[in-house]
Amino acid sequence: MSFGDTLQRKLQDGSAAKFLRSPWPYRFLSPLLLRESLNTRLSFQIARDAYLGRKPVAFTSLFFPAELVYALGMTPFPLESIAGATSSLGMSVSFLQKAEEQWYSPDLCSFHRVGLGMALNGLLPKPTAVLSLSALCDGSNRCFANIAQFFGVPHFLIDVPQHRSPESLAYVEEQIRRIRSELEILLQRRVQTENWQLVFARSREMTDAWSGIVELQVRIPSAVPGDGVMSNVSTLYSFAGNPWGGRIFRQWKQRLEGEVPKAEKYRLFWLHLFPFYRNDLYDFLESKSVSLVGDEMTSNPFPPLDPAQPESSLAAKIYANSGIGGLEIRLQHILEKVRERKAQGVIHWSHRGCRQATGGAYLLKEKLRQAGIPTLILDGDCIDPREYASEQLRTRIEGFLELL
Amino acid sequence: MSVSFWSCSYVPWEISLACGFQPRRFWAERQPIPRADRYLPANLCSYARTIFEQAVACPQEDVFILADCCDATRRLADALEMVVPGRTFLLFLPHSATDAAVFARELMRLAKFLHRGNKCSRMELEAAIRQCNELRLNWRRIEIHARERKLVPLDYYHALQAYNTMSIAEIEAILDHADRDQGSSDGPPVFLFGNTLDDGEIWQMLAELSFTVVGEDFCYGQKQAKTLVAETDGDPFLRIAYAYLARTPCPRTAELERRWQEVTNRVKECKVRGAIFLPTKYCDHYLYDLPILAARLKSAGNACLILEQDYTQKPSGQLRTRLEAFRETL
Repeated sequence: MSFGDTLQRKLQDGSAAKFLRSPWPYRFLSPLLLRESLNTRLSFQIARDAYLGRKPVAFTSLFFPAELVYALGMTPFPLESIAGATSSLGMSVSFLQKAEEQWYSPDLCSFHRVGLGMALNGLLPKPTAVLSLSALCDGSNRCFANIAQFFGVPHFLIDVPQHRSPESLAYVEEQIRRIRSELEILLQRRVQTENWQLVFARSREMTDAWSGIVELQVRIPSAVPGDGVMSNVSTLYSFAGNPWGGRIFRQWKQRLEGEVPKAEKYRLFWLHLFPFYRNDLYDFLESKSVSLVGDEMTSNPFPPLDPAQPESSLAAKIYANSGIGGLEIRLQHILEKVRERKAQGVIHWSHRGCRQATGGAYLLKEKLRQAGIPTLILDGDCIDPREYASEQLRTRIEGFLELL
Repeated sequence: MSVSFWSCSYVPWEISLACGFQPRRFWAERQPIPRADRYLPANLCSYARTIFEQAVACPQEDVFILADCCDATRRLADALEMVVPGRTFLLFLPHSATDAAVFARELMRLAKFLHRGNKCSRMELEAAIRQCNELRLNWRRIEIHARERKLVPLDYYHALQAYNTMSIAEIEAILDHADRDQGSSDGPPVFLFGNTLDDGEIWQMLAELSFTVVGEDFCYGQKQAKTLVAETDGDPFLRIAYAYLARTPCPRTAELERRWQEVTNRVKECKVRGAIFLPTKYCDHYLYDLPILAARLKSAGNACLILEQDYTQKPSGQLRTRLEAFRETL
């Protein structure tokens, strides 16, 4: 029986839920993980704090400003990232099926269906609050609202107008202020200036360290392997303010600097997200000497955060995301990065349940074509391995590379 | 008169009327959509894709007011801006009714767009408010007739069309006709859920299978007529914003508990035997709403049927079979 099969069985008989909530596995595993990567240890630490109830837990959507969560002394539990992790462990299908059994349509985004499936299976820790951002996607709003309803806890939503203006910025800032004070009442804890100073300094440290990775990524040849672009979006956004963030990227950079870069024939820029389950996409790209010189989500700018004006800083950070404000803003961001990183073309991974990015893929392709940038749209799913068609993807990538 | 087309019923008709436009809902038509296929992928709401096909064929002077209510609409706005630039307005719609002031400010921005930078006059706006209120009061008569089972499904469908083209005369004709044929609908009373049900063929099926539609929760039906805009002093933009946000919330809002309460109460008042959910395929808001609402209705003793619909495909025989089977269970 494979590891994946064993896990599936444990999930069904309820022993996984008991395991996650028992202190013994954490005590046993803690010393064994000292040699593991910082990313693994961070995930372990978050799971321990959340499942053992050491800190109040906030379920967060991907782009919700995690600095607010850390400043309040909560543990962020980013459900979409957790869905990615379950997919990489080969466990996503049973959660997807569980959600479908409860009338959640298979047309909905699989990141969110996994979150719902985990909740329905009793595998999520009890949250104190559910926090989400209306940007970038609608599915996230409603999924988080349903999960809050399921647990009977408050759902705080930051409503982000697409129209970029000083009024919109002020509106978002005001909502962050309101959510902060409501959470302060809920937690009976006030956020002091020194909390903001500490959390913002950690966030800055992480984005600075990330810039070091980007430096290696844009080199010719690129010094960051293809699969290295995956998953960082979660660390950069969901754990902004975590004390380990800067160390994770510095340690990775150190390791990359000691490696010899692979031969490079093509430089491509990646749009939207990636498949998280085990797949042969990166190996195939590497075999064709393709470097992925960056991706859309982790190349967003990170504006400076001012502890004296925390809410306006976080509002500005939210609006720094090129996914807010219509296609033209997304396009300009992509064009800038493609030119800056000397990419020859772009690949858009069209996640099946996504209306936000995938919905604009054809329009983007047309605009990029007008700008002289070849674009390949690959249809698939980030979480559900049953949607992965390896041979078809290989054929399409080969055809695309021939055009370059 | 130029037309201001809308797709989400949170777009206030009053602003368009006051700015000299005839507001009209995009009514989805089953037709080939080659241009939409080029710009908008197949896993996007078929209502949005159908709208695109209609919009690009509209006369140059018509405009499109889209509420920033879902990802599909945002991408539709992007596509329209690309193909027919300068004619689309994306209206920010707050998730919470407490943000009426923010919505009022957005309505002023809409008025400027329609009036090409000028403000619309207070007098025109007040007249538009009165006109729309009168229409809403007429719609309430349709609601009462439906609840009393005096309407056959096709009457209800035509009443929705008449309401959304602002034709009071047609509404009156439907009511007169229903009053003459009293007791014409004696099939099992059902309540319909979904965002839109523009497809006449499905309504025809409901009629042929002798269902009686006693109410619905569509974007553009009862919900829309629930709240009148106050005809008093004070900022008319704010009064409009309050009224639109005060009605039964749609599944997109952050006021879901209020939505579920109001909707389940209405179902109870209508004394239905079953609820039919007809969400448009790929509409995330309704697809997330459905499991919770259906569970609540079921626990209150209502039979539920879920049928996704797609405007790019003809209603299948399977759909009819499922409706037939559901009717038998009632």
